Amino acid sequence: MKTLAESRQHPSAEFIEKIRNQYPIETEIDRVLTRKMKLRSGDGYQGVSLETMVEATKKLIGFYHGNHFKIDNIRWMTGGASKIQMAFDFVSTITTDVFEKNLITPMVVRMEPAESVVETSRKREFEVLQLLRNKIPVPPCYWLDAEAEFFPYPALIYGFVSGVVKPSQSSSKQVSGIGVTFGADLREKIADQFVRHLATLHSIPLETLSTLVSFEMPKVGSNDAVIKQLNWWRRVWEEDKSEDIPLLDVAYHWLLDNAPAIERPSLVHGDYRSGNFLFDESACNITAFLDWELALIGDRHQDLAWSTYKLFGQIDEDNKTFLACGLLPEEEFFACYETYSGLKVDRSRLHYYRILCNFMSVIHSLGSAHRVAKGSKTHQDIVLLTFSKIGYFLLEQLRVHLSEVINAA
Amino acid sequence: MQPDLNSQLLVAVNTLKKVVLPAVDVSNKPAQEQLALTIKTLEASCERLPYRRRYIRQQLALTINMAEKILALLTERQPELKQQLAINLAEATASYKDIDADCETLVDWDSVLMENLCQGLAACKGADNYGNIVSVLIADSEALISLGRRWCSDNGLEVEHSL
Repeated sequence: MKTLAESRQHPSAEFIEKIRNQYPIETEIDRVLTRKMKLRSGDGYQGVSLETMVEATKKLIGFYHGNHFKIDNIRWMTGGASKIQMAFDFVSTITTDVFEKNLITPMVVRMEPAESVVETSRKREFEVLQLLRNKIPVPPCYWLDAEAEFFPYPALIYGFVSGVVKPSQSSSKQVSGIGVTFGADLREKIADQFVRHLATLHSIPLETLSTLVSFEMPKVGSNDAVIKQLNWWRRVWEEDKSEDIPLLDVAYHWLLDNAPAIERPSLVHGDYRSGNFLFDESACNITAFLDWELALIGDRHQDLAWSTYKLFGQIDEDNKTFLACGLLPEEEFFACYETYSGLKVDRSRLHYYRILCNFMSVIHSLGSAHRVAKGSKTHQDIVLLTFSKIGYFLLEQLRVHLSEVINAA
Repeated sequence: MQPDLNSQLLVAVNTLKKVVLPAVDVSNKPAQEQLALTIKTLEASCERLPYRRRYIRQQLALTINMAEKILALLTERQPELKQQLAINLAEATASYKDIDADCETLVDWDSVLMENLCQGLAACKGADNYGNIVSVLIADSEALISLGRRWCSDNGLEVEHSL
């Protein structure tokens, strides 16, 4: 018996094409997923040295900026379960007739491993970060290596933003910043900003989004874009799974049959939660929202569903109240969001997107994380292996959701 | 035979804890974090190793049970699928009953049945029996998922309020 897992570890050109044709998706997402499959049979992640990273950084910056700079204070960064990150200082020299002065700009290289738990486009991430400058707190993004012409894998360079993802006294040791405990004082100040910035993001006028050339604009009144997104993750499942799960197919069919038309397209972060923003502990300010790789133009309810996903939340000190992202009660979150954005929270759409988010998270864990770790494709396979073990727990959530909606129908 | 696999793994874990972990640069956070997760994973594997065969057999038994119910729901309008599932069910059941069947064979049969169930579901979409098949899959998946959760309970991420 040739196992399902083997056929996906060494995919033939026919297999790749068959899945591409079966699940039509956005062009740029198709490009990165196809690239992933073509490279899958190749080597696992080869440990990249700091020297290699420095050389590539110099070449990339030199190509766009010229060679009048130095890089200094080079170090690896931890955090996240997806990309390789190196921090450094970009040092340029300002020379006039009377003085010479070094200008230091702290920066970060964000590079893909051989295969990621979420295979995404650096190009899209770059476009979004450029667009959002001065709209909400994001790191400035400087240079892009979308096709790995300079680095071993696709990468981008953005500005280093100071801040922490969790309080320095936090006891949480969980991977990927899941389950951050803020404490009563801090969360009151952070929660308001967290919701306000989300409202700002979703309220960006559509005409402004025209600079996002690697994104497709959904048609108002149509569910085509929702189905494309659903196909995105269904395709990832078909490419990454190590075993079939009939329940996941039940979910896919339900999501397909019930996909709502988009009434008002918004820029959606795709992973808007605690653990994905930095804040200044003393000033209690959010300094930057990170990890824009899953951003898309779609239905804002997707972010609302993801932010209030139970996995990312905490129970209040009263042992009763659920706090979305460990920050504020769900109803307060929605009321505050409606006030700031002037946009309504539609409960039925929210429910649909809760199931879609749940479907996606099962695919990330039981499909991609397991596949990537087993293939030794990243710099932190053990982190992904640990993450993959939560898959059955997420699958049970999905089962309960499906049971409710199908029995209610 | 000595040293058995469990003893070998335990010695390896102890070495990592007592010798390697203290030697890792405290400022190298990725290395610290990944070594801690590696130790945790090896410890969990040590605990589970003696129960691996039992786990795999239990999983196959649950899958066979679910597949039998789905087979009964397939109609003559899906003749090839019905026949294929019946043949695979018979072989999977025979392997399950064979005390000498190795773990890999049992795992493979589980995968084959799961694949057949997905094919059956897809083929019945829009047919009269689709709703009943979905009901069985939702109900019978509970025990399978619960088994998987127990097997992966060392993930450190599950929180009670999440369900």
